[in-house]
Amino acid sequence: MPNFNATARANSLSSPVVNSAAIDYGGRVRILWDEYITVGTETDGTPKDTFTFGAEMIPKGSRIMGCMLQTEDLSAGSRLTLAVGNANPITTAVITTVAGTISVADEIGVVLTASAFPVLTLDNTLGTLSADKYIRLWVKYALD
Amino acid sequence: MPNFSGVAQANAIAVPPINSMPNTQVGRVRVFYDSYTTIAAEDVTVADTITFGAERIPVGARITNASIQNDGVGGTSAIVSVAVGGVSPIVAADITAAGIDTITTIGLVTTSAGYPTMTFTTLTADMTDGKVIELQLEYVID
Repeated sequence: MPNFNATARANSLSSPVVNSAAIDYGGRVRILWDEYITVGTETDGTPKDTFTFGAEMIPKGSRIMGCMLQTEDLSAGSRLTLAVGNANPITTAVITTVAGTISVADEIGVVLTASAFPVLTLDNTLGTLSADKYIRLWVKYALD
Repeated sequence: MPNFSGVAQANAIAVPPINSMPNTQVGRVRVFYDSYTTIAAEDVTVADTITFGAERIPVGARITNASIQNDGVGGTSAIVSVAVGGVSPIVAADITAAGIDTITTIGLVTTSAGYPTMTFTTLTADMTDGKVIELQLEYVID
């Protein structure tokens, strides 16, 4: 029965040893949380509308561990794509008229090559978004 | 209307009180991440394991989240199960097709220090070369 070693495990067994970084082991999981309330004029188009989240950028070198996006009934057929710098997309959420729709990450593990804010892009919508509806987002990341 | 207490709440109001552990409340969530790239020359069979991580997950760690992301290793069925520190399954998944699978059992606390291992419980064909399997855990120890 053969056994195989993943990258960090192989590094720890190599000579000289290659140490793992905090984003691989033991680093603290941090969170960015923010929400946006629609005003009812947001629509796709050229250029597409975007929503930027967070008071501070997620630092360069962070590992993106996942996200969760929740929306109210924005409008049928709306599609939101979330990116954080080179972590693009983290998730592509198709939002319908179902309130409270939760979308989770489509991508994990990406390490940011530059500091960046999470940005949602409104890729598609049938008309404009409904007003006074929330878009809530948290992104988990590890850095140190 | 009766009221009921969870274990930690019952411990807190007991006389004398029993203190909670950090892995029950207020502990810090930590990250564990590693990846494995399939190599065609390494023919994987059922019961083979892939070991992840440069450091062991400590004894007493509560696994709060787990994810496997993979590129799709091919075949018709490639089912894996992840264990760590004497507890399993942390996450189980069919990695035949690309995708993300998340935690299978919440609340598990490691009974020994250990590296996460991924064991193939079903495999109907050799894995495709050059496919990445990522394992990400979140745990609380302190």
